[in-house]
Amino acid sequence: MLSCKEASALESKSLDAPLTQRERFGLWLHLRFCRLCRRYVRDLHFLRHAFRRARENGGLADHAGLSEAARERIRRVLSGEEVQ
Amino acid sequence: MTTLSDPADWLDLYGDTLYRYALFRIHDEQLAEDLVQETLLAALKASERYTGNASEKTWLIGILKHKIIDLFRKSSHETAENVDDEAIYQSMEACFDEQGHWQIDIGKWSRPEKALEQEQFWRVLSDCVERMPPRLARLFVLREIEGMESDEVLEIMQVSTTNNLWVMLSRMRLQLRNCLDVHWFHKSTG
Repeated sequence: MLSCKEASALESKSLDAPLTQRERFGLWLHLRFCRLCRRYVRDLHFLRHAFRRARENGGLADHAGLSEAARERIRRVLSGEEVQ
Repeated sequence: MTTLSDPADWLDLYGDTLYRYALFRIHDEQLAEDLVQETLLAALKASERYTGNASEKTWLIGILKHKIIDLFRKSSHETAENVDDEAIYQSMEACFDEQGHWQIDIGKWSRPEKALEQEQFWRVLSDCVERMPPRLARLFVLREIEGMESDEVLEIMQVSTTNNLWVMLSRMRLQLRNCLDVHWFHKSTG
């Protein structure tokens, strides 16, 4: 029987690659008996879901945008470039 | 064919969008500002090659994305593969006892779906990523935020084997899970 440590690694790996049949079976068996790992799986899927959502949102809406100073600096650089 | 708007307006139209996009991935304000500047400069130079297939905004974000990947690629040459790993290895080890059983409390998260609707949650999530060792954070950004496949991430970040990559991602996810547990779920339910 897999330990929780081994199972948690496989749970994560399953988000990156297909598991072998042996790994899948081992994980399935472990999860049948382990409530904590079932929770951990749920948490991992939630993380994946949250980051996917973050990607769609294009970052944090409540992050301030460019500071005035940065904006001014970039504007100067850009206009210098346009003149050339 | 779609034509571009006046480049002089790009900064006002897309500056904040580009900045937030960069900041969410690299967690460094100075660097994010520089990337916005470089992106707009590159766009200015490449404007005659704009095909109109993508919207102006998508086109600019595409340029920025390439710049971020280049930056990650360069940084991966500067940091040895295992430099950051020790700390994260130790904190992972601390989660399990000698038999490999959980020795931290994997408490049930109440209504995680609801968290996604709260602005503050995203801030906490972003802070949790920022707390990770830089190399792992970048690796994670490519895999989970950019949604790149393992072999692309492997190549950009110069990870020696896919197995190493999976191990790093696994430790990173465990850390993030625990970070959210402490700083969000535990807090808001407790």
